[in-house]
Amino acid sequence: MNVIPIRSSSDIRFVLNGRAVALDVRPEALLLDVLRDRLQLKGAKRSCDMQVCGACTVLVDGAPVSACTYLAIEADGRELITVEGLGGEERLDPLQQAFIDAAAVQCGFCTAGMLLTAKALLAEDPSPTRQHIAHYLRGSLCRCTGYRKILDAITLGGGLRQDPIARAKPALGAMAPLRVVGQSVRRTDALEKVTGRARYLSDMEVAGMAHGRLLRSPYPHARIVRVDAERARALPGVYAVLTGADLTWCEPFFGPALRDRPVLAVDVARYEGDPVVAVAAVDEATAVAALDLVEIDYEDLPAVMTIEEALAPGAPLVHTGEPLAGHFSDLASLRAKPGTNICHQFDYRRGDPESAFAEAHLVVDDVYTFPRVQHYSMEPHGAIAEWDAEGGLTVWSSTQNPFSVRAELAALFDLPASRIRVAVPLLGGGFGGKTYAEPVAAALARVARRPVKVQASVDDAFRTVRRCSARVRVRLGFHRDGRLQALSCDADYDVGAYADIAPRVIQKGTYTASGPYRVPSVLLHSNAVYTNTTPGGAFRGFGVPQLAWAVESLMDVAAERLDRDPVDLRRQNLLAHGEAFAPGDTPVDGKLEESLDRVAEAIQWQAGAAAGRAKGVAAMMKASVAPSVSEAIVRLHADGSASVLVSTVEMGQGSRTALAQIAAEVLAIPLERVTIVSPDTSITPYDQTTSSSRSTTMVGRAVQDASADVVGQLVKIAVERLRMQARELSAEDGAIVGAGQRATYPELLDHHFGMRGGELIGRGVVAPGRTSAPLGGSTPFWEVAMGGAEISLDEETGAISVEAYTSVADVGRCINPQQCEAQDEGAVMQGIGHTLLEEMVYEGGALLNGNLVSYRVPRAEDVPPRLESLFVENGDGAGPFGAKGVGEGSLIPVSPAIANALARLAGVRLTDLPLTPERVWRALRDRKPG
Amino acid sequence: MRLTPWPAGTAGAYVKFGVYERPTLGVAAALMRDRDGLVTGARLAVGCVTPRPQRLLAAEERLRGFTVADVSRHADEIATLAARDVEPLGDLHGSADYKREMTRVFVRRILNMAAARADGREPDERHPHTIVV
Repeated sequence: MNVIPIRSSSDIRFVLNGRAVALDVRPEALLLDVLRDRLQLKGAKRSCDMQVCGACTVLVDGAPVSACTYLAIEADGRELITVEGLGGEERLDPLQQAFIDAAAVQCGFCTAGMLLTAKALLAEDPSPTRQHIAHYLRGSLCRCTGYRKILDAITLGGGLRQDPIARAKPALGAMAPLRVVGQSVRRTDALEKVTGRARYLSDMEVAGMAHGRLLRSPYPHARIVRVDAERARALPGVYAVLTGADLTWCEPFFGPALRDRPVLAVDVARYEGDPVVAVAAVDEATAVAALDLVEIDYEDLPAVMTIEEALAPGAPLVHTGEPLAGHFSDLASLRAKPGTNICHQFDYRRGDPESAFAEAHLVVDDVYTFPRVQHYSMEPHGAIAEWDAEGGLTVWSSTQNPFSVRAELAALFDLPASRIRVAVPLLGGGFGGKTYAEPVAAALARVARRPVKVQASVDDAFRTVRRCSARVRVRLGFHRDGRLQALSCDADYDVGAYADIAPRVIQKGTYTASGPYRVPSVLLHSNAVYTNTTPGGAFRGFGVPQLAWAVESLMDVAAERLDRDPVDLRRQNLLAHGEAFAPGDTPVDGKLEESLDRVAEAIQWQAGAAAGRAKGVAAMMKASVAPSVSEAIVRLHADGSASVLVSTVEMGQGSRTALAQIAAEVLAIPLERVTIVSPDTSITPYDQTTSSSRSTTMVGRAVQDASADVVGQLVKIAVERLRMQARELSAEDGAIVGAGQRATYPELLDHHFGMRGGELIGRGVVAPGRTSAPLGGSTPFWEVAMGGAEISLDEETGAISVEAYTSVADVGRCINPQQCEAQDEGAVMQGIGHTLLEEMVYEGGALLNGNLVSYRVPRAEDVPPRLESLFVENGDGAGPFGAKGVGEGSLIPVSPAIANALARLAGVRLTDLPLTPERVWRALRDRKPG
Repeated sequence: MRLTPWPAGTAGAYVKFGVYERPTLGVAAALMRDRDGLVTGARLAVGCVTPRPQRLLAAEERLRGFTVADVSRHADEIATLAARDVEPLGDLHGSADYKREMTRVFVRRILNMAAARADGREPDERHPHTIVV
């Protein structure tokens, strides 16, 4: 019998944040669990579980330790400091203040660990060099900020030397800031994040809550012959054990594009990690013990692990049935290829590509591959589900898409939308990976008859969703004079075992293959290809990085063949402001030349590179999701303060701050008097999704309209009640003013309601609807990003060093320049990840590196010594005050910019990412002499 | 565990290289010298290349009797000897032929570092993904 042995406990005493603590703990108890669960100090976070990421860092006798692997008994007799002991709101530690001032806080999940690690560093070395700081942070990962602002903050926090670049720049772009919009105000959630008070789903507990765990398939493809869960069911403390075969009382399949994904594997497991059995138990340990008691017999089936294998004639099929369409309206025309592993195809053609290629003076043509990469948001996805007595379902989730989750749950459990509540707290990162893990929590909760929390681990995350890898063949045809005449693209995206959102990824990604260039003839084809691997879904950049990698590498190949300067060749082909990208779609809303010129100027392109170095550039353009809908409600309270109800998920990108700035600007009240209400589908109005860089543009406009609606109502009251003249009236400093008259909002509301207490409700709806654009809706804006890299190379090892990187994004207008900068620095570093380091490696059907020890994300030391993000601001965006989306684009040019620099430096053109030292070394070794 | 301190005048270094948490390889070198500065004995070992950390005996032997200048002068040749004497095992952190080549590269680099330290200089060359102890 595999029963948890009852062991003796040990009495330990330590001083925690200045207070004596005495506890009895089991000898195997980890300090992190004791802090978080026993002592309810949730500031130290759980992420990698392997002493790699640093999110759980606390100080023990002044030294930083990873509480996730530190036994509680080791703390006996010692002095501990957690983030809660560093400083409270009333008296912040200088480091906490520096993290706020330097905008070193985004999702906040790494913040506590960063602060304490930095504290230890400054105790050792009060004025460390930037290099020393970066090295000291080797065990402290951050996936949002790109580290630069953290390095700034620690330099600032040392207090002795103030790095001039660490000073928040005023306005970075060309546009003069308004009262609140355009100002680098402090994040509205910064204080709670630096003090460890911010609460994430992973910190949440609900009374009577059970813990869910999943048993995953060890095989890439196998028939489930027999599941015996009786012993697990009999284990005391187990409330529910579920298999796919048990899900007869609900619809077992879900999926936004295709309903091809079972809540738990039904008959067949389709990848290593496919959930097969779920357990809910009184605690995690019992759940784990119960899963150990489950016996499963599998029959191995042939698996397809790569695009090549999946597309080979007679290849084993990942799915044999015909899945039902999901709820995505823009994918009504899903085109699977029956009898193959292709679950969706996208085709687009413009002009006369065949003739254009035939007449081209130069055709460049090659195949590029992009790896499987993992989002690694530091907080893994999780959900708590609870059914009420009336059959209603509440789910607290760290999803980016509460309304998509609601739609899935409604279909799975046959519930009206009004009976489902999906509430979303702060997210510890997202990047596209936090979608759709709630069904199993809801199913378990129903059977267990109590709330159930399913909290994924980082290992689980590697087996839940990833970026779609791709193999892309691109051809570019040029006129003698350098004009790009034709582009063809044949892209196969590996979408893994379930389609997830991938059909939308492949068509949106492929559609913009021609990037920021004027190309009269275009021929595009892409396939979404099933393989027996972790499902591929949305990830920052949404299908575009895979293509930009090919297209922008080939632009440099063509420049060389045409004997043209790569910047020049690009400039010649850029679309003009207002020019059509494709018939029916939104014309180009940015000044692309200005972006390219800013890049060239920033990296001193004309000056060339120093010995042993080379520079490279790349450009790209991305569409946002369309058609899409965002709604906002603004409530102006009797005292003149306002609540903004929107369903934008704050996952680190700073949406709460930006949206509050927009509301404060329009309402003409101080930012501190605006509160953004967290997403809750039963309270906050509809928003399609927090993704596609759309929130500032779409939700921002809805908030602007809703705020303007409130101001309109105030003006009406002023006219009717106070006989003020409507034409002259405007909102100013919490009052309606005009022609020498002034009435504050509370005064107006008092007049309106005849008492103190009513409130005005403003509504904003942004719903551009369908258009004749090729994808069925016109992009609300174009996300334009260009990048320039300068690299050096260790020729003996093949290791590339990025010495400098400049990113330029055309954002229309920065709502919060410092936050825009922070977003783009993070995007660049994530781009450096898949360019140089990151790849999920499979061997023999199994994922070799599904954890943070052997999957390498960028660290502080990987930050280029010079990293900057610049913005082009012409107020020409469709969002509020001329803004448009930001945050995804800057990731896209990173790979080709670096590879283009490598080609110029060493004469090798690599076509497979990541550009690992070994891959580069091999290319150098095989380089043809001369 | 008992560790005997190195004799006075020993110069050594440890270098690891790799992009992951675990390195592609680690190389350790120690040069024990007599009063005249001649190498009386050397220790040279690589880790993560073969199933167990491995001493590079032929290379160690070759270093005996060298002056510091000799160590630098013959670093290339000794590194080649070292690379010949390992039977690398490919893994996530590098294929076998890459590890063999990196053995050559890093044995040469570490010998130059150890030689510099023997000379009382701290080597200042920096390489990406490389940690020097």
